[in-house]
Amino acid sequence: MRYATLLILAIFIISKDLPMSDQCDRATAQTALPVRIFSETTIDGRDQPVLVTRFFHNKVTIMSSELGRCYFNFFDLNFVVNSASLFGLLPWLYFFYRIFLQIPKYPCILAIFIIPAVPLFIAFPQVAYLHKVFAIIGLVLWAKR
Amino acid sequence: MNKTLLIIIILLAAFLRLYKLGSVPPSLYWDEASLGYNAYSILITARDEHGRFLPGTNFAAFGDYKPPGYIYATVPAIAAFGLNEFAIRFPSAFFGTLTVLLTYFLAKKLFEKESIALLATFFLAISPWHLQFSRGAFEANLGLFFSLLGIYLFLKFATEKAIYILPSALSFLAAMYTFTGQRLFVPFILIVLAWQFRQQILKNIKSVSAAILISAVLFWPLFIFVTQTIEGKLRFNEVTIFKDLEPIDRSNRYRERDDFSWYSDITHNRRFLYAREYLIHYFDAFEPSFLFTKGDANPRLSVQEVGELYYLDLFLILAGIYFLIAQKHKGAFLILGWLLVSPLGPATARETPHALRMIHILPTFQLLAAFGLVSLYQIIRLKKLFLVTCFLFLVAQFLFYLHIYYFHWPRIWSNQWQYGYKQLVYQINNLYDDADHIVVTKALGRPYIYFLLYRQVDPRDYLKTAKIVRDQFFFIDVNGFDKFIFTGSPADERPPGKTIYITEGASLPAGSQLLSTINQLDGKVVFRISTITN
Repeated sequence: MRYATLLILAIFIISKDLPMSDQCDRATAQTALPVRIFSETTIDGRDQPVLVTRFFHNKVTIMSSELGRCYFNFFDLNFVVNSASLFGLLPWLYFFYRIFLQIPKYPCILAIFIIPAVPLFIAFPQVAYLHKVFAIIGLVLWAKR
Repeated sequence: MNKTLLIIIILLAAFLRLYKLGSVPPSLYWDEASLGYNAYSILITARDEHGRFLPGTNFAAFGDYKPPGYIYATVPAIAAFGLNEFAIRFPSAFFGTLTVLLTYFLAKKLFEKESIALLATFFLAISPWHLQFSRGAFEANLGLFFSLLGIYLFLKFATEKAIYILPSALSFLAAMYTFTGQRLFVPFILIVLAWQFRQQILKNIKSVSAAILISAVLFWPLFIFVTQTIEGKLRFNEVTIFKDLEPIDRSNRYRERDDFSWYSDITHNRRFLYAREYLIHYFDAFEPSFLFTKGDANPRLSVQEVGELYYLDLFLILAGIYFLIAQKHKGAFLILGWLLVSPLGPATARETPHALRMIHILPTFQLLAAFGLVSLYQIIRLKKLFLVTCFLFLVAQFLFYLHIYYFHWPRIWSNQWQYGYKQLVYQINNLYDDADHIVVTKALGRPYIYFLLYRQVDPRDYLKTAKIVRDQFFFIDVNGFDKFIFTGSPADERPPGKTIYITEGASLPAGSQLLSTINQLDGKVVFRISTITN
């Protein structure tokens, strides 16, 4: 019965349509770069020392803020639900619970935080698949409990 | 040493909340103007702007029936500093600073460790979320102070003396009389507290019963107002997702497509669709772009370029949650419960995530971050490097936040704060005596309150000539008072004599002569002042 339930949940998770999400990666960040630098330095230009402007509004800070936005979107709970379904959310959370609290292997934890960053640099449009994978692993961990 | 550090942090918190308080945010938003004028009205007449004697449960104001807490708290500030932006925002800044201090005592009670308490206090002192609301006349910020005080006193009741239950209950009541969002938070946090401290409650059942009885008596008028009057339900009905008919429509369409089969009645049941909507709104509260990169989508509620929390907080909060659970810390249930129940109320609203309606989640993030930092420090090898890296990272983002807050945000978003009304009223004051009528556009919303506020009109004089109307949604509007006529289309008004017209943007009434323009901080024209003699 337990395995049948988990199997049904796995079917729900796998068959969930992937969400249509806007492209958000290094390319989009680079597109935003000149526009943001122009607008931010223009505002600063009126009465700010050049050093202050350079410190706050440079390519590095703007690129990291743009890429940060893309990266953090991956961990949006609504994105998880849209990727792995509502039934996938609980095993997804269970996966993180097990990885962090019960079998805290630092390479695993590190990998989980690094993997979502990979699509920002390499063309890998279906980042949402990762949530399905995490949820399925969560189910397997639950089954083996 | 610890005392000195605490004093320094509180002074920093006070400085960050009071510095340029009257000019950043760049002008008074209409709700701030309304709170200020009603407080002024109470001060000089003991009645609100509509002439109601010392309202207890609500101030009608624009027909939004504001809770009374903030208005009464503003009365002494206006008495001391006069009717101006600083005085209207002062209670928020003052109680915001006290909230920072309260966080110290709360963290010390929960963790019994000075370092965690000081760090949590420091994190809240520089929090973009808390700073944003401590620097505007936001009822929510005062509400946060009261609910936090309620939680702290409840902890004192559970760990020290039973007598603290009464002030705790009164603080929670004050929170509900101050901000509507607290009415959907207090019951949930009380459940969390009651569950965690059920043994202490049972042990002191007499004191608890007495506190419940007194609170029930004091809460009764508010309860009647909120549940039994149209005005009381108005605000909730206006914002809630449960009054949205779209899920019902969607359910009907799906069921029709399935020929109204029995299984369709179950799978496409409207209750499921509403539950799904609610969950989406609940999860929004933990949206990473809201928390860490962009903040609230409303430019009045965040600076738009920094999240509600700092990047560093993400790792510290995760670490804090991890260590709380891993160490089975006694404060884990309360802090995590608090974190999880906070979005339950705001999730019923259409606009989510909403930093204002969810402000009562503070300072859970700061408590977790402080606990996470101290716990990581204990296990990490390169302690000094770790501390220096964290400090530099935090300071860099904090300075960036301040830069955006003081230099970019007011210029880009001054229109969101109804910038221009103050400048307009001051210009009109010079023209007032020569004019027979002054026609003002309503395009920017509720102009009457700014004329009352900046001209410091006596509410008794205002009520003698006020043309107050109420629309079908129960909102109250003013079409004129004294020489002023407020209208959606100024060009259609042709009163006799010399008339001053205040129009929005490029439009000017036919035949009028332009006198001057008023610009927003980004340079765009917001008002044009012109004149005609009919």
